[in-house]
Amino acid sequence: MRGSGREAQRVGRGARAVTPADAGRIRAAWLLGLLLPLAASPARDDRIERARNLRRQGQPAEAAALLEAALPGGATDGELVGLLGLCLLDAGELERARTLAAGPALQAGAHFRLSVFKARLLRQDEQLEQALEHYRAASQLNAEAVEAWVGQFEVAMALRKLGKALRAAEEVARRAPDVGHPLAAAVLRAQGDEYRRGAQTIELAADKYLAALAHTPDDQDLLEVVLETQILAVRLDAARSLVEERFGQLPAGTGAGTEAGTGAGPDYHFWNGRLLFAEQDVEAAAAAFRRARALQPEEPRHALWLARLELEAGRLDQARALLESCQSLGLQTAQTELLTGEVLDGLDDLQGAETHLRQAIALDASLVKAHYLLGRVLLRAGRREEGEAVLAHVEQMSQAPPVDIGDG
Amino acid sequence: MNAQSDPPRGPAPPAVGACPGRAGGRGATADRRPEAEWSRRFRLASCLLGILASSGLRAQDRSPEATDAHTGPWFEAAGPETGLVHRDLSGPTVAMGKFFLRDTVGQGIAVLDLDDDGRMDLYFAQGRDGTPEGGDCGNRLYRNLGAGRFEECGEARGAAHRGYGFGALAFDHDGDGDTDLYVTNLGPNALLSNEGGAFKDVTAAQPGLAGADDAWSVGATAGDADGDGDLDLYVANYCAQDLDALQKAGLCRQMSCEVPCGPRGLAAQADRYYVNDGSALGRLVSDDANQSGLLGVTPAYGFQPSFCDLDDDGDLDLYVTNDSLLNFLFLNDGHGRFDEQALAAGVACGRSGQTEAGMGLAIGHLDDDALPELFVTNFSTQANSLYVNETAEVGEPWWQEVGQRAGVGRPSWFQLGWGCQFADLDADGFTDLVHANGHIFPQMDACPPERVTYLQPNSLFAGTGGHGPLRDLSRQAGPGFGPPGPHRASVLVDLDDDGRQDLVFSRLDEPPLLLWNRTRNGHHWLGVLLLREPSAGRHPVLAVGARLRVEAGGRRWTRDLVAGSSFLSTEDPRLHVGLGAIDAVERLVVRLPGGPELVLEAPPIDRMLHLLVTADNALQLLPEPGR
Repeated sequence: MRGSGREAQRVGRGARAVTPADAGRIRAAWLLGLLLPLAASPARDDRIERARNLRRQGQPAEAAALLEAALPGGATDGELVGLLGLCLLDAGELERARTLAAGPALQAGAHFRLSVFKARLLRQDEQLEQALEHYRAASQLNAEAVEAWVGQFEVAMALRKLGKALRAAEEVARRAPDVGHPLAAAVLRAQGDEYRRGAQTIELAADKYLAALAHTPDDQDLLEVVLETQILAVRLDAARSLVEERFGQLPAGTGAGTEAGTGAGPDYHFWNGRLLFAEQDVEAAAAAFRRARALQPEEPRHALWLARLELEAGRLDQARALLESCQSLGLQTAQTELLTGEVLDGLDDLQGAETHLRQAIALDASLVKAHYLLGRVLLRAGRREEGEAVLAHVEQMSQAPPVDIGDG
Repeated sequence: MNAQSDPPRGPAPPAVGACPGRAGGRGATADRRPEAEWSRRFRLASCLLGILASSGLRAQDRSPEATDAHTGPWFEAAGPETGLVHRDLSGPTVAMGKFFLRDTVGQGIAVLDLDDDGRMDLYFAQGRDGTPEGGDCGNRLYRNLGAGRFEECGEARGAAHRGYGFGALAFDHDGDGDTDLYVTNLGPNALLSNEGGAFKDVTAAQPGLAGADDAWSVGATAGDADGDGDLDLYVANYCAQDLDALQKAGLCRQMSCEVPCGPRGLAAQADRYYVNDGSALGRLVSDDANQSGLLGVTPAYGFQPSFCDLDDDGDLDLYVTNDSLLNFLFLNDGHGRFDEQALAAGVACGRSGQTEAGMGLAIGHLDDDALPELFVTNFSTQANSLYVNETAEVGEPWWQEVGQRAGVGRPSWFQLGWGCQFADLDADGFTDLVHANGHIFPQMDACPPERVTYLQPNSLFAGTGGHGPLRDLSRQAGPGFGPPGPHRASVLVDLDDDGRQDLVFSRLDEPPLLLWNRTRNGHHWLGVLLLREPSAGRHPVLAVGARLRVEAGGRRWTRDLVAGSSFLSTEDPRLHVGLGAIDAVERLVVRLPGGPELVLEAPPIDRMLHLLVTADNALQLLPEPGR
């Protein structure tokens, strides 16, 4: 202004005249006021980003400290508060997280991280239904946030709302296949397990297990569950195709544990045996199990199935010997105990039968056959009251309604 | 699926009320005119040539397997020439679409001598057709004319009862010597009293006998349960069929198929028991107070009951097959009070302890003891159950389920069984087993599981002595046994009185199937029509509940006269025993319920004997009645 030649102007009533210097200061302040918030945002974003990185690196306490420094100014910042809450929970600082939630932060406005934080806090307090609602809200705010979908999956599973869990898992699978597919498989398997408990719904169980396998095709355990259930559902052609595809003839000379010339391994022969048995060709099934056992003598299930066939044929001593070999191979399941009990009953060893049948029930209380045979053994032993009590339980089990898992 | 109200798309069912009567022209005598001599000689020569030609033809008709080289029974299917031509009505046909369970179960058959002429006649229950009006046709009664011919006479004889029929029980309710009929329905049941060959509906005179209006009654059985000399009645009821509610709910999912709903999920209906008051009217009084103990169990989906002495203690016990729930075994204390013991006895379910479908029931003897075996037909992917009686002490019944070991379980795995019988079909002295098959759901052909089809062939297992294993001869029992079909009820009956028991099957939506037993192997046999005198001077009645023992050649055969068995049916009341090569019988022993053993020494064989137990407990061999 020196040399500008402009005179000072009055800028308001009573105000003293604004000099050019004043004007300059006013302009500077105005610019500062305009630019300062802009200068503050990158700092906030940077803080959040650094906190996220720390959290990802497994340093939630450090992340929380970084974010807390931005409070109270950031108390209405939903993303910041949400992230802080998550970090506190990750760091095990439950009380501090509760304090944060009790403060004005809860009114911090909508952000998916805030919803996830609320959901997790509610989960801690076992308020699962409300937790589920907040996870769903989080997904609506940010459909790409895998954490929210995973949270939905976990809570829905806990609530046994398997339909919702499956939908959440499928969303995860879309965004993070390596994480999501196993989750989806887990839900479908759980649904299959529910259906499998009902004799009227075994086909539905087979459908579920098959769908699970589509998500995790390399899960060998699940593959066998699929085959087992396909057989129970009498979908024998489908099961056979799967056996051929997964265990089918290997190139000749593949190595030890295969049949010379054909290359078929013990798993192939075992499942072939299962299918032949299901097709009611008992002799061919026995031959297949024997082949499997010859190739893999250390696998007890081959002996177990042969034992079952011997029992059915009335060759009880042979059945007992095979079951003993299963035991020596370390197999003790409800099925081996049940079969052993049945064999001993047939051999009039009532005490032995009772022991093994009770073992079977201890291992799997849903085995109605074990209860039934135990009741009959007790009656044969002259223990009428005990036998009738066991059979009364069998009668109750027979009244169980068909399974309906719905789509909760 | 089409609702019942949809117009039919398949072949039109018979017109409502158009039950066929006698065939026109039968028995008419043609005019006769004097015949020229050349014509007479030509005619005689033609007859002789015809006789010679047909003898050769008959030998050629039978394939080599049916000659002496063939072992085992041999059956040939009869055609429409028999006159057994009505179509079973069971709701809409398969082509129209079966929506309700009631349209898939099928109808029963009763064997009875309606006019006491010595030939067994046949009575078929009928359902309703699928027209929107629900028009029905009467039950069919066929009189056996002999020579393989039958004449439908239901209307003429008052037996063409109209309802949605299921079971047909033949028994003498009033002890007058005529066999009456009790027909079960979805809706009120009916008692048709036989009065000299004509039937009269006397249900209205028997309060409560019709049952509830909404009851679905199926199998029934008669027997002297309380030992007072008359026949009491037990009726199995199945499940509620509220058609409006079912229509709204739609089809149900089973085995990945959309099928008619039930019985699970539908209300089970309690069975009924009626005590005969022994009066001339034969009033059957409902045991509402459950003095018998038969009605105190939780209602189940009852199918086929049967009175029989199951523990050989001289009184009649009761076995009931239940669908999808445990079967019942009621043991009689000797005074008409019963105690349910199926689970403890080992006959409530299969060996797995799981409930099974439990449709048809056969009671018979596989071995030489007096303890009856039981055979129960079950659903597809459930083996049929063969229970061998090993009861050692009265009061402690004990059966073992041995179907797999006996060779009758595995072959039935993909089949769905209905009517069934123990019988010695080739008279070789060993008890065989036969059962009718056909899936309940027409939808099966389009659904998984594989190997389970709607139409199924029947099964025949030849006994080999004792508890098996029996040989599966289903594909080697002649052309009658091969074709698959929608078979349901089955009855054994020697329709041509040749000493070989024939088989009659009802078939859903189709005419009945009659299989002539053409087994020709020179084996000896013995038939017994067992009668008893209710009191001195009274007309003899069938000795229902009696046990017959035949002793010959070091062996023993036991037979029981049961009223109500197989599936919703009543079998030939004449007991049949195959003797194989044994050509003489040492003794016949007869025991009525609660009565002593009565003996007939050295009876003749290869014929039907008529035995009478007199009022003072003597056993008389009656002369064979003239025809």
